[in-house]
Amino acid sequence: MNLKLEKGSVVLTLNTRIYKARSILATAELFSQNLMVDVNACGDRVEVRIRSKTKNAEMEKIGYEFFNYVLADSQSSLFSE
Amino acid sequence: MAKNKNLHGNFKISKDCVSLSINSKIYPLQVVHAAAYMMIDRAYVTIDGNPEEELIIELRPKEKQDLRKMGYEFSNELLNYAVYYNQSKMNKGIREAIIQRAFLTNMSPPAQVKDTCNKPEKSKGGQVKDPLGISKPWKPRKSKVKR
Repeated sequence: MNLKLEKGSVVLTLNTRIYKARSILATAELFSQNLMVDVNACGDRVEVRIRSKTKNAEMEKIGYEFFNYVLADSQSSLFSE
Repeated sequence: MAKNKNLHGNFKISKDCVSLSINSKIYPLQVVHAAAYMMIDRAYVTIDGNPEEELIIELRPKEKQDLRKMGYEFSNELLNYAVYYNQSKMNKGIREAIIQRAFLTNMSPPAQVKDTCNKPEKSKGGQVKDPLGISKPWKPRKSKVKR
């Protein structure tokens, strides 16, 4: 499982052999405008911890939305390469 | 041997998501990315695994939807992009040749360019030839009508 719910936050684990590190960082920057995002790397894996600034936020949905955004970014960057 | 109801070919259906196992020798990562991108408006997509061996795709619908159908739709998208990917790989050379030809069509070295359209013809003395007498200043003729 690459999504883990913790108290008030969600921890995502992304494989850099599948998702580009550049896309992960671009998405993290985008999400950081409304949420608190922390990015850590360990070998092939990048750990993204997202914390909500407000209570009652649907962290699971936000986490999965992060994956979709990274996918969209890596797809669009294919055309610009 | 009892058949597992949740297993449909290469995908497994669980409570709220469908997991697909993809052989990356058949479907490369670019193809999987393109197919997954097509699903992101309807589902949350996560990809994991080893891009050289096997990829695990998890589709989690945003709204209630038939998971089995979604799995098959994803398989179709994979096939669609695999064909596109292979075709574009095969046509790469000819595509590049066509683009190169299109860019070079109107290009010629500057020394060969001859623009004679707007330049006036000159005589040996350096004066401009004017066989039609166009360069003479125009003056209105005096009217011959007597009043």
